[in-house]
Amino acid sequence: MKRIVTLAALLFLALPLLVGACAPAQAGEIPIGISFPLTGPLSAVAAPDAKAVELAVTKINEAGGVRVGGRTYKLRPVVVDNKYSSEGEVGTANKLIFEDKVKITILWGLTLPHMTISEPAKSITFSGSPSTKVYGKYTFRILYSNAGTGPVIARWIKEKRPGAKVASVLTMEKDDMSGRASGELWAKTAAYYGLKDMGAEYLPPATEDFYPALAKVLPLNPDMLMTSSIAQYGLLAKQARERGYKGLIALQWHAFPQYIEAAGPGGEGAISTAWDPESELTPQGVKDFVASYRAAYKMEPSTGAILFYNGVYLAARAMEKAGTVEDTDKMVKALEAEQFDTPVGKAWFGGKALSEGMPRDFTVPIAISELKGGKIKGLARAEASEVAEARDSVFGK
Amino acid sequence: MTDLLLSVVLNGLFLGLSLLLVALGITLMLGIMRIVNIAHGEFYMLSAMIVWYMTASVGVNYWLGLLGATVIASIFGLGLERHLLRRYRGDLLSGFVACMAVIMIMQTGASLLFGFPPKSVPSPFHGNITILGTPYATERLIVLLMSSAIAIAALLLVQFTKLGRAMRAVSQDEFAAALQGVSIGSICRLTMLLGCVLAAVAGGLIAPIFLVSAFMGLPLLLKGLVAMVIGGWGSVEGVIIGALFVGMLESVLITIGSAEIATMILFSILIAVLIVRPTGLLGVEAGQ
Repeated sequence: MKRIVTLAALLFLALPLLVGACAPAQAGEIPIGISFPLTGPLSAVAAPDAKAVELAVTKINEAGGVRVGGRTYKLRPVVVDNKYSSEGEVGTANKLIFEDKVKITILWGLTLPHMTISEPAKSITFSGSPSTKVYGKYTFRILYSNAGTGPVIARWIKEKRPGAKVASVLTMEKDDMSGRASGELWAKTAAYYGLKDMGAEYLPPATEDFYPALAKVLPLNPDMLMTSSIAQYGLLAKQARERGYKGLIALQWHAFPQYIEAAGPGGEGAISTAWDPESELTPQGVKDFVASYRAAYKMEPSTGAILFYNGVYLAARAMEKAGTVEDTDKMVKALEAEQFDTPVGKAWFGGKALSEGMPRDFTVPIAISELKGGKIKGLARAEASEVAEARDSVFGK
Repeated sequence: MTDLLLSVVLNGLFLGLSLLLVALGITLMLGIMRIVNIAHGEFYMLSAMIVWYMTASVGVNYWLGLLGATVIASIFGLGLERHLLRRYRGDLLSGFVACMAVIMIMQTGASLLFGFPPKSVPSPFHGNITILGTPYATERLIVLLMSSAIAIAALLLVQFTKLGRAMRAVSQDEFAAALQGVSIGSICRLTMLLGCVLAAVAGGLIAPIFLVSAFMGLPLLLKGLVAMVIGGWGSVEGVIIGALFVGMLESVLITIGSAEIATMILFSILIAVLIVRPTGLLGVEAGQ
């Protein structure tokens, strides 16, 4: 009797698990993981980008969804808060992959802890990390990296920029993994394009007073300062101008709104890779995204939001090209081999030399713009093929 | 070389004088109220946040924003003195713990109210002025001059006014001062008010120069404590010397080394002073 009661109790406790395992997903739905820090210090920056991802899901569904193997699927967003912490990443990865059965996750957060779960589980991660050191068999970067932006900027400066020529460059970056990686990539890029590399000044990430560092570097008279694009480095632009610096200031990334605000008039003329939504150089897909985002959320999208929006289209196209919504190995093959029509333009993954022979560097059209009157003004556009050629010239194929 | 030297000196003065306004408040509170108000840096932060809110969000003129921030921070400070700090006068440990709680509440409250990301305050000053061939930001120069003027005014108040005499009397011997008819409660309130005004003005002046965030107060508070320890516990003249010393040292060490080296050396000097001369350069015995 006791044994029967125990067995019944165990079955009763196990029932929810059995139901959960057997319950079919809604017919014709593909869950897409959206893992962003929605609370905490980074939420104010990240949460608006999460809205861009949700907007892409809505747009794709409104356009008819994803067609795979003769069936049409709707995307179902599964939004989680990774809190930008290792524990948060592991917890949310477990939930997305094992509970929600997600095959592709768009991630703005700490990719490496997430990968400890996603890689063995063969779940694809589209990471918002700009670092070329973040990659795995099932992990792709959907933001362009400095391996792409640096050569594009260097080439434009050498060959097309009007006005005084730039011959020497000094890097000022934050002293952390991404800052050091940026500095190293830029040093190789500068050498390739014949720019005199005057070295790098790495500063603690929280630095806001750049006067001491500027007192050291400005007497060297660099033609260009290559810097980070975070808010604090907007202060660098402002303070460099206060100290009389007249050379070019360039960012190997898109200028964040906080950078522009912090730089104030000191940011005038700074070069970055942000898209100008009013420019004829800007792809129509980007303009449509900006218009949709403004209409849906009554606010401006951040300069990086388009790439997360783009990531959802990439996920949809990858499944269509692979002909499967389940088999991630086939999806990986498609991502590595195919080119994709995305809102930003034709795009693919390249940069094998940077990731142990795996193409993980998102090769996508890149803008070159400058700050004029506190607004982004488009100057040039490099198509994905030009970006690939510039990157591979510097870093190898 | 001249340019580098001048940059280091100007930067040192700027850092030292910005720090002085906060350090003065802590010193006055310790000397007169017998409280180590480590939450003092949060009034600096609160003022900076309010200036940001009033200028960037509401669209008020910067100077009105600074005035408003000073008034609000002062009211807040008087409330804190009345309902919390007064209980812990002379009880340094309990006062310290209570102030820690105030720090957490103010930082978290500011984050929730104003948001986490750092903010920029539009500056009322633009451009630069050339000093002996070295360009220097106009706004930094204005801050330098205003901080000097305010510090001198505070010093004159303490040294040459009736109120200042009463404050010094309380700091030297509270019982005797009471016997002479000095209202201890009023003096404490006025000290708190003066401290809050100094911190609030410092926060408001610095707000357009750097980024404003809910966590900007504590690092400055720590340096203020260093200045106070080096210059002398409870000594106004000492804290002036201490603040300028800290500012100059930081400026030199960051320029020739790095911010990390500057921090290590600064706090090593703090420990050395505590061992060799615990009262600091011009201070009285701690707790007196």
